[in-house]
Amino acid sequence: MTKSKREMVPGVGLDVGTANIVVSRQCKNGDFVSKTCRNMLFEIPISDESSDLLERGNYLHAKCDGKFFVIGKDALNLVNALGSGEVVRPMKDGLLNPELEQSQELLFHIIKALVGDPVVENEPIRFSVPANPVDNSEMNNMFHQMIIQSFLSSIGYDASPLNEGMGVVYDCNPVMDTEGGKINLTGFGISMGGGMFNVAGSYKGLPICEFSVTKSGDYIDRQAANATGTPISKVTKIKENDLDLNNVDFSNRVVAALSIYYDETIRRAISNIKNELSKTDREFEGPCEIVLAGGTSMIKGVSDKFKDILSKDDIPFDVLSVRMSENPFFSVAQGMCLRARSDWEKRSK
Amino acid sequence: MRWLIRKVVKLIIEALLELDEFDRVVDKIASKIAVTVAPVGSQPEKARVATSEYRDDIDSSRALADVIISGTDKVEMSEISDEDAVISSGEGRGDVMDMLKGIGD
Repeated sequence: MTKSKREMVPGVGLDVGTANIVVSRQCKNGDFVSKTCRNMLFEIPISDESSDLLERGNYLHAKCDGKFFVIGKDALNLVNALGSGEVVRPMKDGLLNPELEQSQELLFHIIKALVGDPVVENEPIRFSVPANPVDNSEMNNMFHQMIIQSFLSSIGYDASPLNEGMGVVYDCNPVMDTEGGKINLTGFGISMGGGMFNVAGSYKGLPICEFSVTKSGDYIDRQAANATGTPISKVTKIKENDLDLNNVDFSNRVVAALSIYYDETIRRAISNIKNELSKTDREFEGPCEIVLAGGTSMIKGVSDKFKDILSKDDIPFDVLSVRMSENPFFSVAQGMCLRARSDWEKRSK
Repeated sequence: MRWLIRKVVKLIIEALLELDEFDRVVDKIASKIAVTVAPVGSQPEKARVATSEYRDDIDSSRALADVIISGTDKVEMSEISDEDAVISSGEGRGDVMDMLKGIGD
């Protein structure tokens, strides 16, 4: 991957995740250009000192309701540098965080800064929405979906929601192996995000099942933090830098706790996937691929752990392979972008 | 003066209580208040509960979105640099695009 600026074609993909917001567009030569911001904030009171700190440190920040909010990875870096306080999330468990004042205002401001202005009038944008969870009947994504759609429309886009797991399917093109050859866009896309595991089954690009399982990356961090008495922001940093599920250093208490909760989380997700798929009589003509993406999938050894647990479970279809997305962090947004581009091309005919 | 206003309000409420349509009127007023007031505390789940009782969820969410979106005007934010954009290859997406063109909304 390189950094550069190019001419874009109409059609935007937006992944509004609990942990990260990612925006992808495509250049005329087909390359994806993606921008991202960690979906986290650190609140500090306004003073001459804090103002000076933010300016000198070139921290991405916002001023709102008489407070400064340091935004994105700068928030995490600052909390770890100060050694006190905690980052807060505008979103929780895949949806807008109802506990945080100013969360929507700040979230929308971050989205607006990342998405920018439409390149054509009513430019299509596809934004990710989680499927309703199978393990928490009280959670519902309708409010979240409506409010983001209204916001994007208000800044000039033709906005439509798309299931997060289908974003992985469109970007990674899982295949089904049949006697007649390989069938594209047929298999499963799993987005392992900060708040949820989102699962989508696709047959030739059409969604055949969509559901989510709660408790994902943030849950792993919270549990490891509770078990070891370590601040969550520090646990997150250790997870991203030191954790290797194929080679766990059990002398490190935080790494050991993270490994245990990763195992438990993947096991629970696979069990829910199995239960959900067993409810239907669906039959595939051949073995299908499963593709993993999302920030929580990016820890070393996750796909091996997934394969290992999957091989010991009896899921109701034959698995051709389990593979990682080539760009797990950007996959959902890139898949959204491809769908938005096809919306544009259909409209332009 | 305050005593007089209180007295008049009390009389109006007592008169309204005798009307058959009082509940409907209160519901209508409450639905508008719920949509407008609930998001001030930035608690969308509560707002959703409040508005869903008065139907139409979609319109309510749109109204709620308008209130929240107007709140972004009070935010002053430093710029996200274009320099941080990441380029990745779009190779092999041609087949997918062809299939997506055949899929409806």
